[in-house]
Amino acid sequence: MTASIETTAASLRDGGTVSVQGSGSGISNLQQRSDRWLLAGCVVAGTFVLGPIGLVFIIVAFVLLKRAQQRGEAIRPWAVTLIATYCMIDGGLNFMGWGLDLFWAHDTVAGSTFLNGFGKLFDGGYYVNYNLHAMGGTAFTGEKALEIGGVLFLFPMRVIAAWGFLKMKRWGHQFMIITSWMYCLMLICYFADLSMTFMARFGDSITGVTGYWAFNVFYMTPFIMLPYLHTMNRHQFTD
Amino acid sequence: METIEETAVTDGPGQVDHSFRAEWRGLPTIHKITVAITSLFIIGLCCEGTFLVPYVVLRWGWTRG
Repeated sequence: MTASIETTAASLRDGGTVSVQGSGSGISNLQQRSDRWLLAGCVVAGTFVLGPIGLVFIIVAFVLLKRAQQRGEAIRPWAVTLIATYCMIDGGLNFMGWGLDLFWAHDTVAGSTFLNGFGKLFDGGYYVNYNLHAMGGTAFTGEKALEIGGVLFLFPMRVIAAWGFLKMKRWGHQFMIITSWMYCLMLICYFADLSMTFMARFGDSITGVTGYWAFNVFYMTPFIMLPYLHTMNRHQFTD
Repeated sequence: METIEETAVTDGPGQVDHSFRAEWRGLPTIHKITVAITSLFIIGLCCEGTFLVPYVVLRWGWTRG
């Protein structure tokens, strides 16, 4: 195992490309099982309601990965696993939350209760004049435009990029950077939209701006990711 | 842009320790911050929806639909 890691490291230092841990045919059954648990955990956690169950799946995946490491297998860096997990959950949650509001689920009892409750607590955009716009869901058109862009374009792309990143693929790393900058653009537009409709939205919520940030601080993914993505050793990733 | 090379932590001659602890020790500060925040936020993301939904249902019930 040690020799294998050192050979890999030496090859990387020489500028070569090697099939490293987690990618290609060298991956063990244990690591494959771990990745399957991780994917399942991220999908379950991305449903909002079943989050803690997803967290259990993710812990199982980490235990399996640690066991593989203890057996002497060369595994990918833990930081890569953590960051890919975070981005997959984030992409899934945003896809789910905004998808509920964008599509017909906003007319269901469960969907409108959840979204109105969120609006009442944190963001009045999901409470004031809800379901009265032509497209249904939130009546704030700026929010709706961002939902269309996010749900139909950015978040699916983000989840796939995180999976490629987890598998240590070069395209995964590249698309993590690309989608992080796209996410930055979207968040800036989103904050501008929030600011312009501030009184209607935060004037009508129970917890106001403080509650909004307590709930949404976890979605500031790109601002956390970009310094890491631009300074990490990108030669670890393979074609 | 220059990359920050992650340093392998050697554990005796000819041995490379790739455990999480060793990887953590070898990370530059900016990456340590990223990993720490990421770990906390994974837990936050996994839990917030579950706390929100029962609260919403209990507080306002299903009548608002």
